[in-house]
Amino acid sequence: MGLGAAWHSRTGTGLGSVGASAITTAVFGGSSDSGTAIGDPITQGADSISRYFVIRFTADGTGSNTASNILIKRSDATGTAANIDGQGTVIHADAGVAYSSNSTTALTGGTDLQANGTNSEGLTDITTAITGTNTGDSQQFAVQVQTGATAVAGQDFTLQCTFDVTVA
Amino acid sequence: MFQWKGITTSGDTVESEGLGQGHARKQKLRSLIITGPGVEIPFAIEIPLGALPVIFERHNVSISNNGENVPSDPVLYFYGWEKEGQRRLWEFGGNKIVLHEE
Repeated sequence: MGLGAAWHSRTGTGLGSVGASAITTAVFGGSSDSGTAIGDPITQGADSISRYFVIRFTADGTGSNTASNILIKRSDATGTAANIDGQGTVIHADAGVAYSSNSTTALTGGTDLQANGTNSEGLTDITTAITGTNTGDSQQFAVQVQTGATAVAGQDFTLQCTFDVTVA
Repeated sequence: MFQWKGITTSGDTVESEGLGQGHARKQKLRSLIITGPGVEIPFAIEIPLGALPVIFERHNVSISNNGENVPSDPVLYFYGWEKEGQRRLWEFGGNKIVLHEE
């Protein structure tokens, strides 16, 4: 069963020259190399499994909304679950287009996030990860979380993605 | 919904509905007053000369491998200023105001 999370950051109507509404949504899900449905829990499999935290801007026409300070953090008791590698990727698609997985566009200036070990975390080393574009466009930022193929079963862990959004 | 009201360096009052850092910077604010959920009393931030307003929101999303996918945490809001590599931020959310210095 798929899953999703979405919320409004705000819906400002704008007074004076303030930027128009810039709705930021985020969904998480993804797909596995072995074909697991989007949003299925991470489980042990023969292949590595990817999940995506997607940050989606609905364009407001100002072109200057940004997301930055991407943090990936894992919470678990033992640290023996699979290694977690978060590869930042950027997806740019027209408004209304569902996010896609396995983007091959690397996050400019960023480095791979890694969170391996008990309660470890990784933080992007760039100030701006994604910037909103013109009216009619949306941009999506996907942090790919990839587990190893072994040692996942029987281990509970939670992955958290935190990011800052600056509204124009 | 957070709102801000600011006084510019020329003494004018400007307002915003929602966020809008670009607007705040363009207006060259010297003070910033915000209101919103959990902030019953408008809280004023004095912006030093030459400093820039900082306004952003922080989101969290989580996923678990045990089938109990974790809901997203509430959005947190940060207001403050930055100058010469120094940032002074106040966090607003729930019923608290917390100062962060970076």
